[in-house]
Amino acid sequence: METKTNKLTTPFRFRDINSQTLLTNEVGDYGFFRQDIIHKIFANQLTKEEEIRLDGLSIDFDENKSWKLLSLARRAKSKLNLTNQKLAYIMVVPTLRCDLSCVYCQVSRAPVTAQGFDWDKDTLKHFGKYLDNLETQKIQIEFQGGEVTLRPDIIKEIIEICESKFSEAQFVICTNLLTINKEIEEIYQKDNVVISTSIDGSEDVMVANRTNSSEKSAKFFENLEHVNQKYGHNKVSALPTITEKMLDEPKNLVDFYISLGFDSIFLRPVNYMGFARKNFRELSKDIDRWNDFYRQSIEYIIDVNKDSYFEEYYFSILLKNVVQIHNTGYVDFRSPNFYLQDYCVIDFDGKIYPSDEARMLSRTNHVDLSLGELDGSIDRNKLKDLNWHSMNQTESDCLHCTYMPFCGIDMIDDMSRYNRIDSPKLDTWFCRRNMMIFDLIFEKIANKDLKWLDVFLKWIYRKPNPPKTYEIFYDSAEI
Amino acid sequence: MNSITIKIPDSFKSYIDASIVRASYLFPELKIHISEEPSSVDISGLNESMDAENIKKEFFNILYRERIYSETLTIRRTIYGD
Repeated sequence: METKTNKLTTPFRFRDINSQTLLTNEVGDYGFFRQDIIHKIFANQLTKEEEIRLDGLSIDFDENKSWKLLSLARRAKSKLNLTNQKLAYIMVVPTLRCDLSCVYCQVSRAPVTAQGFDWDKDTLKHFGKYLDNLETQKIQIEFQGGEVTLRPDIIKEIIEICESKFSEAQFVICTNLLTINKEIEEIYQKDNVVISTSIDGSEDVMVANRTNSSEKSAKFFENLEHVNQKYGHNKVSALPTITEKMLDEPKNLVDFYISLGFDSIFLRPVNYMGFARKNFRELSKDIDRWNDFYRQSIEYIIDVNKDSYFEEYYFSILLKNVVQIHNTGYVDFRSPNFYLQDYCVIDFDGKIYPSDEARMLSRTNHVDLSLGELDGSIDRNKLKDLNWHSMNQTESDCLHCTYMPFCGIDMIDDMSRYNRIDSPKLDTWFCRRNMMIFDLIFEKIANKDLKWLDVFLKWIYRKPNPPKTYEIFYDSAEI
Repeated sequence: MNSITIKIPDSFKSYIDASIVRASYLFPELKIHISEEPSSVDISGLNESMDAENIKKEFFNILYRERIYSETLTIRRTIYGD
């Protein structure tokens, strides 16, 4: 900076947490300082200890330590390195038809008897050719719908195609679990197939949100028990979609997941997409109410962890980013989030989308985010435009934010809610949701709240009894 | 009191314009402009729920951010450049 001639100062950000100031560097190294630290940096009044700590964070250091700049550049660029990413996760939609009509359906599914909403022979042929052009040896396919078990024949064909082309192939069947027959069991019994389903709560909640029928809800839980008994609890994962009625009882859903034997839950708000745009319009705007619910739920989950292991998936992703175990898999929370690099969605009609949410927005004629078709080419200009906005590192609000190195960016959600991608970030659902969680994490770290830090360690190590390595949250001067 | 004048140190003068733009979007209910007094910013439209010291602190935070951004831009280009 101009005040010092023999120092290099790298981009950094700051935020008051409790009675301290949190500083983060470009790649997420952080430290807590006295609240006058920013003034002291500019006034050239740092103590020796503060100089050492800022040097350790590669924020402010002598010019003769230019290797620190190179190290910082290497770490920053490694996050942007496209050559590490190979398209290897494909979501396919063999049918858009569904035998349920959930109140929040995000994809505007087709009726179960509708014609023209399934993959045909040509789609399968083009899909095989598409796979031939991938550079990966490992593939993961997620079957989404519609309700995919309406077409077990297509699922089987896709599995056969993938197993013949890749050395390793994994499959996720996303299903409402209402139908299990001999043909579907043949798929489920394969070791490289797992099941993902939706559980919003007990039978009455399932009736209200998803099945509109006590019989169907009972059948769902009967089938869930069946697959758990037959294939073990690792075969099925579940996630809820949380609607307005559920916000006043944050403990209920957690308790219900525990009663079903799950050791993890993803507290996922209803998306502002598809039919949910009409049915949950107010809730979708009410971020304060969501944050209240979420914080109460997390506080309860922390209590639950006194005697057991139970994780909240989303909080865990953000926490791991804070300690530099960066999320690369959850595409709604990454930065950079370059589209079609490691992930894509192929719809029932062969159109290719950058994400499932992009498919939803296109399906409801909100905005066409399709990037091509299986038997055609990719619209590279459109892809470039999208990717230009998929980095919080260049977003005009985010680049000032203390949490930028840990956070993601979700232009699809912004488009869905605000019809634009350049709304002030601090006003968006995405930003305010994540600011609340990061503030909570750093409050607990700043306060050295061992009750919370012990649970943080459980989730970081994914163990009920992790090593007590509190030092991963602090630099040496803070321990 | 519904207006305050903040004296800006000379070393922050070149970041005042950018800071006024950002502060005006963060606090749209306030009127923020360069004062007739030298190196100062006038902020008016404060209501009873707004603490003048807090608004002053927020404005300085924005100034700090703008200066950090501006003065580390070359380094940022080095980090992300070829």
